[in-house]
Amino acid sequence: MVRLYTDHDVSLRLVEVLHGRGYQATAARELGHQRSLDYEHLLLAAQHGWTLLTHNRKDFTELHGAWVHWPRAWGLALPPTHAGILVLQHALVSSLYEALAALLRTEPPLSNALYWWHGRSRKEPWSVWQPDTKEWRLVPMGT
Amino acid sequence: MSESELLALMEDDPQWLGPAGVWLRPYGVSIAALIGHWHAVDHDVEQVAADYKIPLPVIVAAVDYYEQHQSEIDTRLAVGAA
Repeated sequence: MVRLYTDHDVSLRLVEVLHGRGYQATAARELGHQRSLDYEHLLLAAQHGWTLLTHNRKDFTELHGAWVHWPRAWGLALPPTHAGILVLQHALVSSLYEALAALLRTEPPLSNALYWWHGRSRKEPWSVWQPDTKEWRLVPMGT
Repeated sequence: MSESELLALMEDDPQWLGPAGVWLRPYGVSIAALIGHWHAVDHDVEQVAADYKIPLPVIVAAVDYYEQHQSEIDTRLAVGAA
């Protein structure tokens, strides 16, 4: 089962709701990492195999790009694996939970993947980052 | 909560310069993120306080701070950086 980690800008209430629905979730604040920087959150999550939840699309898109591309540029065979980054627009906690649950029910590939819940389309509210074309692609959610 | 009491909680986020790059030291959460959530819950400060488990007077003071630095914080939120 996916294990989730929320950075310092995600509400503790969302973690509570996730716990209540049977998900394993840990908040940066619970671990005393509330003043960690974005790259430290990603490293911590990757080291523990946690999927990172954040509201910060801009900075984590850049970090994810560096994570995926830089090892190749330095001649390393494969980038290290992070367990996924899920970017959430600000919304009611109930909406955030429903969006997360809907995505995770599809068992998406999370390793070294970056997803963004933008809620722009009811049928396809999630997009996934395409590192090679540098664009977001809508995620089919099924029926 | 007075402005000076809020200032005592505030700390510059080294990842974002200027008035929008401030977080609350005991909680780590940026004021910009709190304001993003405040917008999402129809400006209900009690809901923000409950969701983030931060005392209500701190949230009210953070909203006051936002009203003084609205354009900078709105810019940060618009680019998806909080």
